[in-house]
Amino acid sequence: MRNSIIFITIIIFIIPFPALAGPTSTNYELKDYTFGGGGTTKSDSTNYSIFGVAGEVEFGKPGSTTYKAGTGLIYTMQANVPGAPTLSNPATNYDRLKFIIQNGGNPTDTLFAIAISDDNFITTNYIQNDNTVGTVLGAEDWQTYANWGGATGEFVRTLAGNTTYKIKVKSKRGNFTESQYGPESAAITTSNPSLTFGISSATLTFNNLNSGNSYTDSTKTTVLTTSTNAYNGYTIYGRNTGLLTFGSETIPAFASPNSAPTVWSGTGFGYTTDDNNLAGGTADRFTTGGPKHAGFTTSAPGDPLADHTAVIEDPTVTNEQFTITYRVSGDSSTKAGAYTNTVIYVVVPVY
Amino acid sequence: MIKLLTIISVLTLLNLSFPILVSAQEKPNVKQMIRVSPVILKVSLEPGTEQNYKIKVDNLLDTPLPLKASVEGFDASDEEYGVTVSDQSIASPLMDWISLDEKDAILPALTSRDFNIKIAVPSSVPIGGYYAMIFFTPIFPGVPVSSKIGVLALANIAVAEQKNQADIVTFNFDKVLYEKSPLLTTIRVKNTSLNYFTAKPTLTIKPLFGQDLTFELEDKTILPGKIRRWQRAFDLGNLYGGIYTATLSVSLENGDYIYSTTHFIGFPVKKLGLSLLFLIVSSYLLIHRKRVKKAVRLLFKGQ
Repeated sequence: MRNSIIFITIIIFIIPFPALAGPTSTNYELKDYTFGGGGTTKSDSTNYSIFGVAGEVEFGKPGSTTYKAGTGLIYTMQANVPGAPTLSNPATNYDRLKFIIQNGGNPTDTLFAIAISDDNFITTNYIQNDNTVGTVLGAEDWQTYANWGGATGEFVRTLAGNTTYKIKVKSKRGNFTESQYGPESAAITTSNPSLTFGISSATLTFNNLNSGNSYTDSTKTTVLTTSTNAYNGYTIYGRNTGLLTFGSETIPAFASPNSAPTVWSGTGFGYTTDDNNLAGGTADRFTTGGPKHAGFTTSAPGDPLADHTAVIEDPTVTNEQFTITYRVSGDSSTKAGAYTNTVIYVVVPVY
Repeated sequence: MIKLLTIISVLTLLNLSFPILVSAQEKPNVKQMIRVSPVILKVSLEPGTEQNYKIKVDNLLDTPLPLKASVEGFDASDEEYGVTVSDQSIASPLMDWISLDEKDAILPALTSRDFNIKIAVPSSVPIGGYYAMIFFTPIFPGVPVSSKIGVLALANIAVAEQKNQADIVTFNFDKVLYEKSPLLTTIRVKNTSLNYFTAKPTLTIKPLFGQDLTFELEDKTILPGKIRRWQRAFDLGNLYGGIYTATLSVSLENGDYIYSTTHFIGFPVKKLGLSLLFLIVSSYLLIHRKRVKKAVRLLFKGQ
């Protein structure tokens, strides 16, 4: 009939379990094929669309405890289910864990979403595209294997300390292709951030100062030893409780400040540090052209004398040592006596 | 005139002995004294509640360690790592909400103790960020060199689904025109929301020709109203001639980003000079090709 349109639907075959490998050409493979009983292939509303074919099962999931088999048209279109991701804590991190996902043999443009939970997936959160944890899985949080760090992996951050986490991954490659979640990673616990500190000695006794040593002693030191897994490191501040004092007599603090130390000249009590990458001014201000000295402040918490401000992500910092070398110089007019004060070192984490 | 100066200090406490002082060149394998964990206590508080936390302190010495615990006010003092501490509340009243179950203790040799921290939040407090520093100070009376170790308490009082907000105050390079690497970049981000959060910048540099380069910088905590600065020198290898576009994206947690873009020019003098010379010579040969051909013929065939 020329002027009329006739829809004829003939079900020739009903294929209960679709073929997993269909006809192929150089570039394409027909993953599944069937003859439908009519119906709708794609009906859209603003928010939803339906994708289906009448005449055969659309989706099935027969399974045992260990295995599952997919059936139907949608199953064959789904991206491969990714294998179990790896979750690890390489440097006793407390607010981040390292993850490496498996691409499951998917093409490079396949997108992956990562679910994370600290209660065995009673509550599920998602790793966001900035590697923080959020409650919503947005379209932007689906990223390629390469964007999730590939075989090297990346760190998920903003985690709670001393908490056990698991992750699992699902994949998709266009509409109607979202896979189920793959197996869960092993449960990994974040550490607690810790800071360990020690000074080489609580005593500091200078040589007697006299004309034989030009009223100067610069041989005394304190070694500061620190270990931490705090991500942003630590800073050690130093101050003293006042001037070196004997009765009403004092020895002044060396005049140069911590922000602008100078080569020693004149009299006073001061220090230098061997930290050549120090915050609070030019990084190598004490070591280049030095040693250069500064006088102690009396203001809390003090001036920075040593620090580690590079990221501590992997590995952790263990027994990092810096040496503070003191210098005291008097002159012939300085009254004899036992001059004392107290030097205080304060170590705090960098936030 | 008295010409003798002596400075004497004393170390005698609980038979405690420390390694002998050595010169700066020979650093000793120093036995560490004290460990605290956690060192940063990030907590979420609710008005009208009482919340309890523990800080574990280890005495790593093989002698008893007398210890004093105290809470002090805390605030950031600059855009990098500087801090201000005080025995008074500074930027927030968190110090006044914290109480310790023990303020003085003696930890036996090589042992640990949990210090219980109670935070009692008043029933009516504004949302925002609150901070304090909890110090543990080994007490050795009379010693001239002492130490203390701080635990930073950062708290947020927030409402659900609250978004972090920030401004990129500065994003620039130290030059507009670069002959070669490195490129010194300064990034300053201001927290314009009421709570603290961590910000993580990512820099993507796109040349006119060639591949994009991406650099991730470390994440830093920004307190409300404060600015944090990142300053970094990037080595891009050999620069191409032309305009580069640098895009900065700063993660504010929860997948939220803010962006900024700037440009600089790559001008490798030697490379561009050679190219220019080649262009001039080529142009000359092209324009005067008949004369050149004639000259070559004359040179080789003599006619």
